[in-house]
Amino acid sequence: MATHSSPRDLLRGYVEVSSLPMIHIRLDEAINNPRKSMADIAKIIREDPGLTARLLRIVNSAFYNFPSRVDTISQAVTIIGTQQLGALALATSVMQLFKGIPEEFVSMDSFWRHSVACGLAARVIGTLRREPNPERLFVAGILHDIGRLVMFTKATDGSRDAFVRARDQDILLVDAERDAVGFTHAVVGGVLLQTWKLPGILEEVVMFHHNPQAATKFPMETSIVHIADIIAHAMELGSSGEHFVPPLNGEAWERLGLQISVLPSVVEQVDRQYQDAIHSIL
Amino acid sequence: MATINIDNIEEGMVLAEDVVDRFGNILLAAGNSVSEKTLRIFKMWGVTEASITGIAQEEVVAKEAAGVDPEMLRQAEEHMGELFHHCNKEDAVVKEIFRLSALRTARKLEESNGHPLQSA
Repeated sequence: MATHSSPRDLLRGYVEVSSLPMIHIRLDEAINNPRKSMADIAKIIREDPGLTARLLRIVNSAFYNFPSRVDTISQAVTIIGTQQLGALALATSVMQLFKGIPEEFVSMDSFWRHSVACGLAARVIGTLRREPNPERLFVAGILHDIGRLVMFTKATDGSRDAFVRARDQDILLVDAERDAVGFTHAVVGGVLLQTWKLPGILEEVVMFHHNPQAATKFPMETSIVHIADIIAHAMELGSSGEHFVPPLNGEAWERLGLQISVLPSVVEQVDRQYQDAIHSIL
Repeated sequence: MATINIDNIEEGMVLAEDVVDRFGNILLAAGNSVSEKTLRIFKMWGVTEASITGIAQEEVVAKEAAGVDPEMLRQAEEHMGELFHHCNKEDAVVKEIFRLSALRTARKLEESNGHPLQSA
């Protein structure tokens, strides 16, 4: 199998994920166009029955805990907002994109479970910090390891070697990737989101989730996902292929400005929302 | 003196330090005892912990760990020790995440009667 000298080379051969579904691009345009109304946005979503059903499932899950049932996309748009619904739509679209791709080293189910757990933790932390768009943190968490999915579903000799090295030498998979492949899943993920033309915030969070001190434009969001990833690992919900809990960056924690005593509640909320989130999203 | 999570603070406990909201306004000054009403106010203002007199930090940690089978906790800590191999276990944040994960795993072990855990 050919080796790849750069993340871009690696992605070039991967046609299944070379672009996002058209519906997402239209949705994104509509959300960011002030002349489009909530009704326009609801209309675009309704064109895709699968997406509609998935979004309604999420909105009616323990994730939101609304007192009464949300039956229509119009209601959902009104209650949670266009930006937020757009973020959730993106998360489910990306998951659909990878469906049916043969898995060599990670099970797709297990991979998304870890991703959802990280997304939940990021969202809980964002809510504690009163961040304006916690759903965007949820999506950033869901996408944080997307590069690994690329590396390990279309396994090259390099990524296979990284996996074996990490397992045999008890080293972090992210370090093994750097040694064996020359770049990490974080960079592959960042470049993938760039080719999808997703908002720069997602690209930066994904690119720097293992070294948040390198994030220049969105250090807060990057730090939140960095900490959320560690919590998801420690809680052993799903697996991204990495066996160990990644080392914690002290600066990232400091940046959150939260007391250590919030951690029990973060873990508890992730536990409470996890099963329901998995069932409504996967 | 011990720092106690808001969920574990009981009525009648005496504050060792002022409890303040996010903006630094004092909600209840040091020396006062906590009532049901003040607890509700703390929660409303997003207070997550308070410093309490007459109790040692070790006691608080021990009380929480007392709820689980010591053997299960030992197994869970051993397992977590391996997972946290690349983390700095002296770091206060890492320590707390470790402690919470170990407790959580020990409880799951109890529920499964000591059978090895299935990954969730």
